Formats: sequence, C-alpha cells, structure tokens
Amino acid sequence: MTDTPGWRRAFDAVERTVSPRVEALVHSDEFARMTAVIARGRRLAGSRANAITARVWHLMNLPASTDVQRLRMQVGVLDREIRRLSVQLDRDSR
Amino acid sequence: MSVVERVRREVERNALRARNGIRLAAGVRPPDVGLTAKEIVWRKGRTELWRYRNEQIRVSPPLLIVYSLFNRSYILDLQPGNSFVEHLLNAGFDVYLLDFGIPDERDAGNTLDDYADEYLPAAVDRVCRVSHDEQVNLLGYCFGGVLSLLYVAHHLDAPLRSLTALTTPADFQRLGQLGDLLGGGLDIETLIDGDGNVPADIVLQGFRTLRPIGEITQYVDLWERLWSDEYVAAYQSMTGWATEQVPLPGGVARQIVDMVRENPLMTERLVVGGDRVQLSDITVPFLHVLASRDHIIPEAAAAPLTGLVGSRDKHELRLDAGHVGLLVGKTAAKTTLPTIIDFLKQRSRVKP
Repeated sequence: MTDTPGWRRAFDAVERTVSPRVEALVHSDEFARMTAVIARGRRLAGSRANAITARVWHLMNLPASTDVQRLRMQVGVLDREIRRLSVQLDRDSR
Repeated sequence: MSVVERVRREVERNALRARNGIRLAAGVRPPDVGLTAKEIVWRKGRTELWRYRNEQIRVSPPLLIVYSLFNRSYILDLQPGNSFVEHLLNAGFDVYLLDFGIPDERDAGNTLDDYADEYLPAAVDRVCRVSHDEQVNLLGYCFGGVLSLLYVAHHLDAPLRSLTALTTPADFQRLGQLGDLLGGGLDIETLIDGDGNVPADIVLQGFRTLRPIGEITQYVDLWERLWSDEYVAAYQSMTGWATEQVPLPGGVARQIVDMVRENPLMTERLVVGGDRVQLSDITVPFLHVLASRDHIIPEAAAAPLTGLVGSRDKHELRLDAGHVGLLVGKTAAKTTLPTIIDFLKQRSRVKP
C-alpha cells in the first residue's frame, strides 16, 4: 500500500489535469497582450495621479515626488559616470 | 505498517502539524541564511566582493563566483550543512563571491558592458591581489554565467585558470514562457518604473507565470509535510529566497529583450564594449552544468552553450534536477558539487 494519503493523490490528479490548461492560458499570446495592456494602464494611471498631485504641490511652491524622482535619476546618472571613471582609474593605475 | 501504527503516526503528525502551523501563522522568524563567515574585500556602488573565511586553503588559484542579477545570492550559502560555499571551503578552496546588491536609480543605466567590462575585470584583479595569485577560477551562476561569458569573450587575456557556468542560457529564443513574454508583445518600457529599473515585484510576477499554480502546489506540499521541522525550515528559507527578488536595472532589461529577439550568443552577433566578440574564441578549460528539469533556464536554452565555447578542454554535466536543486539539497551534495570540485581541482594546484 502506498504511503501517499488519499487527499494528496486526489490533488495530484486534479493538478495534472488543471496545470497544463492554466499554463496554456498563461503562455498564450492573448495573455501576453493582456499583461501588456494592464501594465500600460497601470503606468498611465500612475502618471495621471502623479501629474495631479504634482500640480497641487507646485501651487504651494513645493517639490512633488516626481521632481524628487527626477533629481534622484540625475544623481543616479552622475553616480554611474563617477563609478565608471573610478573603475577605469583603478585599471589605469595598475 | 499495521493500521494501528498508521493511525498512531497520523495522530503524532497532526499534533506536530498543529504546532508548526501555529508557529508559521504567528510569523515565526525564518531560519538565518548566508551564515558562513566572510569579509568585504572590494566595493563599488551596490556591488560587493566577498571573501569567505577559510583557515585551510589547500587549492590554488582562488575561486571567484559571479552571482546572477536576479534574486539574492544567499542561495549559494543557504544554511549550514546545505551550502554550496561551505562545500567549496571544506574542499580547500579560497572562495570569493561577487554580489551585485540591490539596484536603485543609480544603477538604472547599467548595461551588460558595465558588468562584463567594469565590475568583473576589477573583481578578478582584486581577487588576484588579495590572494597573491596570478590566476582565478571563475564560476558564473545562471545569469552570472552569461556575464562571465561576456567578460571572458571580451578579455581573452584574462588571468583565468578555468571557467564554470551553472545553468546558463545560450539560446535566448528557447527560454520558454519567459522568452515568449519578453520577445513577444510585451513592451519593456511599460515595466520600467520611475527609478529606471524593472521593480522587484514585476520580476517576481514574471517568474511566477512560469509555474502558474506552483504556489498552490507549494502550500499543499507544506501541508503534507508540516509535521517535519526540517521541511518547514527548508520551506521557509527556499520560499523566502524565491520571493525575495531585486529590481532589474532598466539598461540590462532592455538588453535582455534585445538578446531574446536577436539571440546574439547563437548567431555570433555578440557585442561587448563596442567590440564584436565570439564565444568560440574562449579557450580556457570550461565546464557547463545544466539541469534537465530547470523551469527557469530550460534545458533547450542551456544545452547549446558547450558547443559554442571554443575551449578544447570542455565538459558538460546534465543532471536530473531543477534550477535550484542543482546547488541546494541532496542531489547537489551527491552529484553537482563533487563534479564541480573535481573539475576545478584537476585544473588547480592542490596542496597535500
């Protein structure tokens, strides 16, 4: 007699039937397109909300999170340049 | 086993299940990971080079492990007794690990060239200096294998004794679902966040689509073996690792999409640092270890790699394991690790 409990054998049987179908659905072109639409929608909604809140903060002469984000990105670009230069300097000094 | 014995066992197991279930529900702290003693010997930005402490170094040259750009590197040093790094240290290696940390907006512009042309050469140089050796054994795990290949192909004079790639893709058009998503209709720009990186939760969702009901099966497995303290600890550390993704630098994400579309490793159209490079120019002794049940890097995507590398001294080990099972657990301890250790030792100096 096998040691696997009955409920587990039942689950495995259901899983074997359901799994390929769910995988086929998730791996379909329609799913990829839907994912892209949702991602685009999320991005659009996020940027709209950011634009509205930014306008409110700007009315009070205060920086919005998008301004801070933009500054952080600019600092990030500079940081990367410095990092690359310092690695190149290390290499040249060897 | 008699009926009475089976009933008794089930009663005992249910009591243990209840205890462990309450512990999990109460949010008991997951086991500590990455415990092997180490020190940081080099740091640049978020990237760190670790040297693991070993009083019994018997193998030279040192071994540099290049970790992937996905997940956290502690999978290579999961727990005492179940640690790839620990096995290597016990075998007498001087082990270093290059960890790229958690990218933020300062890494958004990073491209594969940054890793292959900047970080890896600097790390190899630092390893040689710290260990007072002229060469290094290089080992790349998963995407770290790709970075290592790019580095070696573009630095043919690199001071390497050998190159080992673990479950490393070569044919990006046979990556399965992940490749279909990236190479198909998905616009990568829609996934890149305000900080210029693909957020960790998006990366995690991408991996989850590879096994859509895998999480349900995991819970069922957990329920079945909830009575085992050992299993619960392993479950906590493994699920912790699997869900602990890091953001992917936007520059790298765009290049990965290009790699899926153009398949440069297969078509010899690989460009690193503005130069066209070929894997067939690599001549250092080479080992590729791949797993036949790998759902992240399918066997079909990894299999062509050994043929593409030009080394005369090249070997391939295919194991009946999954992506993680290759390095963690009993299969790893019995097969993968002894093979890797043997390959490296045969190409190194071993002190008696």
